[in-house]
Amino acid sequence: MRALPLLLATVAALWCGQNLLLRHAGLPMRWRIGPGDLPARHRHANRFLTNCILAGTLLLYPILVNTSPLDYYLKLFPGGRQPGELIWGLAAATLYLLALFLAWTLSDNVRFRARRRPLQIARRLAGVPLTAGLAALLEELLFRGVLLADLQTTLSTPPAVILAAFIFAAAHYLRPVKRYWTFPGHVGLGMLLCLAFVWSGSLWLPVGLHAGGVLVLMGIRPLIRYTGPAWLVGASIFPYAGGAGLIGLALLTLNIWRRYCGVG
Amino acid sequence: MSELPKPQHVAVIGDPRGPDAARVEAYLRERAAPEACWYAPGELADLDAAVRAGQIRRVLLLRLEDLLEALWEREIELDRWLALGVELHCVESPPPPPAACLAAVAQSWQRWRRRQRRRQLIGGLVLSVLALVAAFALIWLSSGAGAG
Repeated sequence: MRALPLLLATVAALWCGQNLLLRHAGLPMRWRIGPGDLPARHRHANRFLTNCILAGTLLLYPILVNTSPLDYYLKLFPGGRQPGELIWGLAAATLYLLALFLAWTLSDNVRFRARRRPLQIARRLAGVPLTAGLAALLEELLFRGVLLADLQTTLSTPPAVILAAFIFAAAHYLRPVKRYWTFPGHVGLGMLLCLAFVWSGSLWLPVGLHAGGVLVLMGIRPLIRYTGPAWLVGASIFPYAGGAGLIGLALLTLNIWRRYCGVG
Repeated sequence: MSELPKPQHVAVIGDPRGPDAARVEAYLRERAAPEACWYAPGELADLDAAVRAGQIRRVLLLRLEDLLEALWEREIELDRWLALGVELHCVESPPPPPAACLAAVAQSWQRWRRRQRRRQLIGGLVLSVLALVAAFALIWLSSGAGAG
């Protein structure tokens, strides 16, 4: 088991980097990871450092297991029919989310209302596809391609999936966040993505599902307001953390099971 | 023309870079409160929280419509504001109605909201189930086993 210590070292490196920048900016050290009140210049440096540390982690893991990084990651993206699973995942996540948003709009649980000026919204939306693709790729490489794949070498699949899903969820709360009740939603999402990886045997499907979700959520976020109860519809970019969203995650997991393991 | 209190107790609903900002600033300068906090329309949840925390005692609007829109959009709880004794000022006429009149509007709005919330919840539950069943069935029927 090498991925878990490596991920812990990654968190430690992120923390050290942040505190070096805080010190450089003349600010006090902080225990929690998060840019907080860092000045803009240091904030950019912190983002750059974070990306470098994450890229370093992704490069280091294959070397630790005596493989070249290129060989290791190419195996996670096999050719043949598999790349089509990326599109399938993207479409499935988009379908579920749009169906829910349609239902919530019709029942006045979500209301369309631009939060910013049209130009600001257009600028923000223009960057969404690239952000969705990169965020999905990075998180899938890290949490499925490295963490879950490594856990499966020492644990049987069920505990490996559960542990990886919980670590994936916990990682989203390293930085201070507005809401913590979304944690079960993150665990559910983690389970879906881990099982998609295990059942499909590659990263194409989890990347597609993840990118589809981020694409819809980030694309729709500047245009809507949640007006229904959070326990039903969630909030902000977390509609999957409400009751309907959690059931949606479970049903999509069942869809994927049928596609890869079902009989008939 | 009343004098506005200390800057940290005055909030302005408006865009500080918008076309009406100069008029609002002139209004504030006339009343010796040039450093009020600005809250953009559509982002008034923060103002609502500040009012409820007792940080804001007077709210300045360009026009009454800005306040009513925030009320209809459920961004503020006007009855709580009035109970806390928050004063409302408008740069443009008409001036805000008396507090008792606003309180009656806010209470009626709350009663209507409670009834509406029940309908919203039932509609949300029913349509969520239908949406999930539709998405699930569509994917289930379109994907056979062993596709990978």
